[in-house]
Amino acid sequence: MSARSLWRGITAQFSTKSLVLIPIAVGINLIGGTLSSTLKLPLFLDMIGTTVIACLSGPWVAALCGLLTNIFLALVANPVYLPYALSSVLCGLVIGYMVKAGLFKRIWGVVLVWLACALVNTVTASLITVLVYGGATGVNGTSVLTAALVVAVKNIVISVLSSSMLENLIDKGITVLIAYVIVRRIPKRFLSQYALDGSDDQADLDDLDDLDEDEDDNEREAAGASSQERPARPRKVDGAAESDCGSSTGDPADSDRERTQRSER
Amino acid sequence: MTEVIRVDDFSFRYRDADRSTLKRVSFSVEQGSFFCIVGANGSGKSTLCNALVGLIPHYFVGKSKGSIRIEDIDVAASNIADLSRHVGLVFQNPFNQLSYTAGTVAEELAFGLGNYGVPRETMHAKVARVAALMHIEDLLGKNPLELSGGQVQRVALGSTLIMEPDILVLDECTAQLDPLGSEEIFDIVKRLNHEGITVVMVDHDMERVARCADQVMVLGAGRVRAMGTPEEVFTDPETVKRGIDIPDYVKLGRGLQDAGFDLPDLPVREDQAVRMIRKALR
Amino acid sequence: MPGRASNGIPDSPLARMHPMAKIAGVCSLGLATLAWPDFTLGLGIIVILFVAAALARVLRPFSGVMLGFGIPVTLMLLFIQGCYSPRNTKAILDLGFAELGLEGSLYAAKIVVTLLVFLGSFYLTNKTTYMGRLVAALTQIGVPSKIGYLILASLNVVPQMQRRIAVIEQSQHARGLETGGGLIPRARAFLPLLGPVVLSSLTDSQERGMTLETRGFGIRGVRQTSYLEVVWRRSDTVMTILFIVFLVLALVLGCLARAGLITLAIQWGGRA
Repeated sequence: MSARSLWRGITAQFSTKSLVLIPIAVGINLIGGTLSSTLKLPLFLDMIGTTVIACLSGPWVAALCGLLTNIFLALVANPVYLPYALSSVLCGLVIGYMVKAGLFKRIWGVVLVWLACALVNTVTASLITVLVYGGATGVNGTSVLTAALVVAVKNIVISVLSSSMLENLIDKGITVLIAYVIVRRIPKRFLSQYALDGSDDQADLDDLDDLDEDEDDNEREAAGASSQERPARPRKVDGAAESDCGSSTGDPADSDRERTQRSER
Repeated sequence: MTEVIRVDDFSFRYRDADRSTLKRVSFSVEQGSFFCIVGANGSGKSTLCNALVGLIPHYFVGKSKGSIRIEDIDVAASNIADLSRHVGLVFQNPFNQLSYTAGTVAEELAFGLGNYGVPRETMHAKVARVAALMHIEDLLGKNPLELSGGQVQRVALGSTLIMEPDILVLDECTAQLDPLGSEEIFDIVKRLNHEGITVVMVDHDMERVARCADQVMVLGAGRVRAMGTPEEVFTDPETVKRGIDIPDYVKLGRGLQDAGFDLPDLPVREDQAVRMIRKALR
Repeated sequence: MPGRASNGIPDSPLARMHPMAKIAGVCSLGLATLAWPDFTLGLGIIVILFVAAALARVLRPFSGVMLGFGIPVTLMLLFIQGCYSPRNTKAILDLGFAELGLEGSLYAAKIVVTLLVFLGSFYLTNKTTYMGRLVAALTQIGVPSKIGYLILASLNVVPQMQRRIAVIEQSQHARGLETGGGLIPRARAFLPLLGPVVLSSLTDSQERGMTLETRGFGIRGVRQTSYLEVVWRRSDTVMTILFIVFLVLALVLGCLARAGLITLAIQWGGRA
């Protein structure tokens, strides 16, 4: 894939539909913080929204969502969170591309997403904590754990890494689980408006499925008749085409008809 | 009279949907008229409204057939931004019609103008004019998120009108408001219609539809089931069979007919009902 | 409309300053502190920031943030870096279980002042700037409206969602659900209430996107304008030049000092 088409693919993810999701995903990220404090957990849970938006709008939108979450936290809560935007962005990308590869459909895939996300976050967040803050930020429980580990093992980097690993495995486990449940519950009518699993919008538009053409003609005569009374045969064909091939065209005749329709425009 | 909306054999199916939401819908709306669309929930009214302003096919993903022309512009070949200077949409939930970028109502009203790059002086003048039209001058400095639903809906209507469209599409825009709030909105809409703006309205209040509409279209399961003047549509026995509510005045008239009164026409509006009852009492 | 106290921001010289000049200030002060070899410059800037906060009439919340962040992070870093930094050679204090080293302590001090300068100047900018003006300023220099949308919409949408959650939490309190039991019952009581808020927010976004589109948000090839006017005044030019000169001076002097070409007047800083 050339750099240019990659760039075009990235900008295509930022449709208005995806842009309006970003503030809401940022909000969900912050609700995670409220959740963990309500449940009195020493966690952040600040990537639920990022994970959900990665499933809807793709990796780059998720990355931007992670960036904005940290900027927002820095603006309204504590500027300490700003450098960690890097981990959020990287996690967004990792989750996004893993979802794009179809991993969010299977349980083992979800587990992989969890582990990858925990690993990426551990490494980047630890590096930031050591390089930017010299080992601890003093804003959460992990700092205390780090301090205790420093006393025990006398090595700052190892202490930060291990306390961060422990925290992240739990945090991202809960995060990915909640996000999975949310995505499962989003109404299909809403979900179908987004290019799920990164399947290209354009490709979907190209093989549009057939309108109930036969049914149309039959029903047109009997206006007022209930739509349930439509003939069984075309319905069966419709259903088979959709369930078998998903977004691919069911019947060659249909696609021909569609092509003439499009060329008329 | 010229046609400002022309819908020809328009069908639409949302992506991954089992069936089409609109099926071969055809109708036209004349300039300056008041056109009402009625139908049960799920009959495709909102989808049709979205199609009229170009959200279908430019925002919602799905498959469409047929054509829609707005003031001789092919909707499918145009884009939503250009269309919004010709046709404006106001829908049900007021708080989903805020841009969420404005700290004050004035900025909210100006949001659309800013997108078109309208100079600031023009913007200020237009905001003042629309605020006067909507009776929201006193709200201009307030945060839109702190207003009531009725106030926000007036702001939403103002934000649509500031683009100076010739056609206004109202998709149950008063359904979430209290009676007072919806009457306020409605009075403004009626005045705009008198001033020449074409109105396409979806509404559940049949007395109101009968009072205002020049034309009524009945949608059912995505198809046009009936079309005509309010008198034609509401006095047709088929309309009730299709699950459409009719104005109480028609029911009253039918009751009187059944009771043996000789009434040539069934009333659909209040004034007609009054005349009918006077005649019956005489 | 410069000078007018609007949107809960008290009128002050800082509030009237152009948002871009303030951002230049954050960058200049922060980078200068970072470039300076020891913590002395940062300490001076922190004092100036407190004065600026007083002028902007936000001294009380400003002090709260600075101390609330500064004290724990100082203690934590003094402990971690001061006692356990590998670069420690000279002990200055015996704590019994460990020795406080000079080099680590100075390194900790440098980190703390740098953080506090960034934090403080960022906080002041944030507290004295109406975000609508910032976005208007960004729009004027040609930043796409989508960026402005994301900034402002996040600032408006997120608190709205948080209010909805707060209402749920309160109703839970009222029903006494929260007090009972451990983690699992609490999670079981809270999560089902959270679900609808999250899902309805997501589905609401579809209509919000419709609103944006019908207001010309997706337009291309047009330079956006804004309702708010943000005036760049002569004082903004002066301040921006001062910020740039200050940063350049700090960079040059810092480099020279690190290279050992000049010795700074204050010698008690130590190197980072």
